[in-house]
Formats: sequence, C-alpha cells, structure tokens
Amino acid sequence: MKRSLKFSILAGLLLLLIFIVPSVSAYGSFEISGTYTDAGVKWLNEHWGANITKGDVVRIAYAPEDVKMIRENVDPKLLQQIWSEPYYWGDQYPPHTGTNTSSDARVKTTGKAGADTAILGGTTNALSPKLSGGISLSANPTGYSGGYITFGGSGSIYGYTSTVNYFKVQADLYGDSTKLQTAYTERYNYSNNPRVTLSTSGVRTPVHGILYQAQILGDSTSPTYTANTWSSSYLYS
Amino acid sequence: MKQWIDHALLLGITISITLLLISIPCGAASTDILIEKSGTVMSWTDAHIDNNLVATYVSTNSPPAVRVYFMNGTLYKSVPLSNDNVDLDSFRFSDGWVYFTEHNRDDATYWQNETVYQYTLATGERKVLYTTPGFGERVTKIAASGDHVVLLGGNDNRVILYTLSTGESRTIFTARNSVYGFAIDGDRIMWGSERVDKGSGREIHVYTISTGTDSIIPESKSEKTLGYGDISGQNMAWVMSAKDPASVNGVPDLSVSYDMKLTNLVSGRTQSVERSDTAPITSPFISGDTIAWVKKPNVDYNNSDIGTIRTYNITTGTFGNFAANVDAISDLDNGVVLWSRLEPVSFWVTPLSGKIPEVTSPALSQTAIQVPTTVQKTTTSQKSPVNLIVIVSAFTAGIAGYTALKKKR
Repeated sequence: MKRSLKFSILAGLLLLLIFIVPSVSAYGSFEISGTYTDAGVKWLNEHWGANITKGDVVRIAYAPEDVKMIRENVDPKLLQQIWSEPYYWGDQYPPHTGTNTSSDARVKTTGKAGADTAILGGTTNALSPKLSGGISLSANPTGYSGGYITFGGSGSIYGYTSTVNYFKVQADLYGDSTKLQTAYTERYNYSNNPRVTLSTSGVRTPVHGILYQAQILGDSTSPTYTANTWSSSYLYS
Repeated sequence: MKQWIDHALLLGITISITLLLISIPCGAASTDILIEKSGTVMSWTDAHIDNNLVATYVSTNSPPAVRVYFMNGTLYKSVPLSNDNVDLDSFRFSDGWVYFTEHNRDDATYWQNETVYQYTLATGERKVLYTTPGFGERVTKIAASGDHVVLLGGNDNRVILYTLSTGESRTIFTARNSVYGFAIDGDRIMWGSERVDKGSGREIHVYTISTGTDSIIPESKSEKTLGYGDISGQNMAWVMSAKDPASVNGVPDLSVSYDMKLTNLVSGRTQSVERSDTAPITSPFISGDTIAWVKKPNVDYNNSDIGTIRTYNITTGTFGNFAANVDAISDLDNGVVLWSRLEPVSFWVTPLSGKIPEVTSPALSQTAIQVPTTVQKTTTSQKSPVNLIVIVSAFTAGIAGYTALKKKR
C-alpha cells in the first residue's frame, strides 16, 4: 500500500512537471533588433565563440536589405577583404593596420546604427550564452574636423532597467596601432529606466601619415558586462 | 486493489485542484490593460500618463513617433519626429503637451546640438523650446507642470528651468557630477545629486520656484541615498539603501536593499514607509496620496519581469499590491500606474481602483481620432502558465486512470 501511495505521488509530480517546465524554459527567449534577424540571433547564440569570419556574420545574421545596401555601396574588393577577417565575439583585439582607409568606403560603411557600428556584449559562459542583456556600443567614425582628429562613441546597458551599480564608456584613440589618448565617462548607482546612454569623445592634433582609429569600450558591474567595438579608421595624409 | 483506485482518484483530484489553483492569477483583483506591445529588448523606451492618456516611445518603431493612446489601449494620435534618422533623448507628457528632445542617430558622440520641442496635442503645433548651447551637451530628462518645464541639461549635471509664459530659461543648479531623480509639481522641483558640501554620498534637493530657494532634506545626506524620488503637493517620496552599501571595486553598491522615505515638506518630517533587506532598490512615484514602486523578491540580472507594484496610501497608512511580472514603473497619475515588461517589451496600465478611467481631455474634441494600427486593444488579467486545455487534460488523465484501474480490477 505504501508503495502504491508513493507511486501516486511520484506520478502526480511528474505530470505537473510536464506541464510546468515548458512555460519556465520558454521564459528565456529573447529578441534583438537592428540589423540582426531573429534566425541570425538564434544562430549566433548557438555558435557563440565559434571560429567564423565577419562575412559569415553578415550573411547569416544581417537583414537581407542591409546586406544589399552594403553590397551596393562598398567596393567588392574591399568588402571581400573585410568579410574574410575573423569575427571577434566581444573580446578585445588589436586595431586595424590595413589599408581600408579609402574615404569613400569609410563613409559608406559606417554611420549606420546597427551591427556595422555597434557590438553586442553580454555575460557569456560556455554553457548558456545569452544576448538578452548586455552593453550596446556605437562608435563614431574617427575623422578630422576643425583642425583636429575627432573620435568617440557611446554606450548603454540594455535588457536591465533596475539600478546599475557602475557603468563606464571609454574611447581609446590609436595612431598606427599605438594608443595615444583616452576619454571616458562613467556613472555610479543610477536608474536605467529609461535606459541611460553615456557618451564620450576627444580630439587630438593630427600628424601627417598616421592612421588613426578609436576603440570604444564598455564596462559595467551589477550587472557585470563588458563589450568593445572599433571605429572606422582615418588616414591623415 | 480498492486502495489503488482510491489513490488514482485522489491523484486525479489533486492534480486538478493544483492546476486550477495555478491558473488563478496572482493579484487577480487588479485590471491590467495592455497599451502597447512592440519593440525589442534593445529598444530605448519611455512612457508617461497625462489626463488619462498614455504616451509611449519605442526607438525601434518605424517611422519614429511618440504614440498617444487612450486608457483602453486604442491609439489616439501619433506625434511624428522630424525625420527617420532622429531618435529621442528624452520626453515627457504633461498638461496636453508632449515635450521631447531629438538626437541624430548617427551622432554617437552627441556633438550635434539637441532641440527640445513642445508639441500641442490638440492642434498638432510644434514649437522649439530650447536648443543645447554646445557640442556634447544634451537634455536627457524633462519634467513639466503648469507654466514650468524643467530640463536636465549640460552633461546630465544642470537643472534648467524654462518658463512657458515668458520663454525664458535659466540654470538653477549645477551638480558636481550628475543629477539623478528629477520631478516637478506646481511650485516645487526635486532632484538628487552628490552632496554640495562635498561630503560622501548624495542628497535630495527641493527647489521652490516662487522664492528661488533650494533646500536639502537633512536626512537624505547619506552614502545610502540613491538620489531618485518624486514630488506631489506637500509630499515627496525618495529612496535610500536599507543597508550600509557594500563596496564593489571601490564603488558603493546601493542596489540590494531599499528604505522608502516620505517627507512632508510643510512639517519637515521624514518617515520610513517600508524597508527591505533583500528587494532591489527602486525609484518611487507619487501622485496625490499614493506612493508606488516596484518590489522584486531579489536582484536577478537575467530575469527582469519578477516584480509587483507596491503602493502606500499616505492618508490611510495602508499598503497594496498590484499586477504581476512587472519590470518597471514609468509613471503614476491620478491613481493609474503605467508600467512595463521586458519580455516581451510592453506597456501596461493598472488603475488602482480597478475601474478604467474615462478620457476627459478637452484636447480630444479638437482632433480626429486615428484608427489604431499596430496596437493590440486588449484588456487582460494576469495570464496563467496553465491554460484550459491543460486543466481539461488533467481531468481526462484522472478519469482515464480511474477507468483503467477499474477494468483491471
């Protein structure tokens, strides 16, 4: 009799689990806007950290109309070069020292909100990478204005509207791969409802023949996220 | 064998009752009305209530516009932005006007000047109120009441008072670092900032427009003060951490507890409304005799929609709980709470009385009502994770088990 009672309880619990578990697991769903498609986001999550190229990301995750726009506006050879480069999953990597400094390409491939100028960074671990919360960064094209090299960007924490303990957005200006100067903005203990965007920028007297480029970094605690992205480069000739 | 049958029956009944109980929503007494469900977790969103109308902004909607809804979720009017390439840096809805600050989406450094507009809902007229004086200067918050509009300008550190009748603006406060909470009601403005005496922590300021005096709430001078709050009449609600903040990488972490404060500006008395050592700190809203805030059981960075709306009635001293799966409150006005969820991104209103308020804005008689486009006009109660099909299935399972066992017998 005791055995049959145990069986009844166990069966009841199992039945309950069957009904309840799907509603719990479905809660972890997420969406991302911009140039990533839903299918693309799903693929990125499933292949987080994989050895892929920037072109792979574009082909898999960008909206078709954005891919079309890029193809129409960027020199095919340059595109081939950029898209064959490895894709970095939010880790820091060295500034470009290549030759993608054509002013036409620079103008046409940047300045558009979305995956071209923003990188999504979030807490990741080997088991369940998520893009449901993190740092969104945007970099302005590094350029020349009023006698100065101008650089900068902005960032915000998305997917979290409560009180953020600390958030810093930093812009590092590089000249021929050497870090030249840093600008940053930081904030402590602030409400992220509505979402707060921090921006930072700087200027520097140019030197002929130097290739300038800025790296924008985001760093937060509670919630803890890091992210970075690069601006387009500018050759002061 | 009879015992087996009894157990099977007991099992079926237990499951059925359990599922029925699960299907009864938490806080079912409240009426939660879906206003808008659009955007994604990446969207910049904000929303406000004014005179039983709700204005929302979702940055990923196209074309970009502030959308104004009736309290039942029907779209009343869209307020278009200047062009498709601008975004909002701030907005507010007050006294029939929508105030908003536009920012060029391509300018990540905010070098370009920003413009604050006042849009008259009744006529569709748009007027420039203010333009930032230099590059890198923004207007990130707007508050308005009657003849006065308050702007958070500079680099989030200047409180600018704009008077509609004269068209004049003047800076009334400059913070050492940043200004945090930001609200106005009638003759009084409140904000939080780092302490002006250069002591550690933050403090709450109350500025009286008619006299030009800036007072500081003495009890607010603390390392535990977050600097956020709201003001209504002679009452001000603000919040501080309940516990001494732990240091995270040298930064005091105020996020893991709260002590909700109420200050009577006439008597000068400050009292603690409610403390929690585990609920994350949250910004209060106040309207009339009601204070509202989001109460969550714990800090959860991966799951935001876990809160309820907690209310306190100043006159009666009673607490209330409304709605479920709440992420954040955006506004409180005349007994109606405007709140949001993150998954999916959606705005909701909950009338604390349980009755949907009637639209009384005189502005509505002057403008044709637009047909709703993307909104879902839905009146909802809390959704249960277990639906009718599941409950019927449970009953069926119980009956089937009973029948099978009976046959075996």
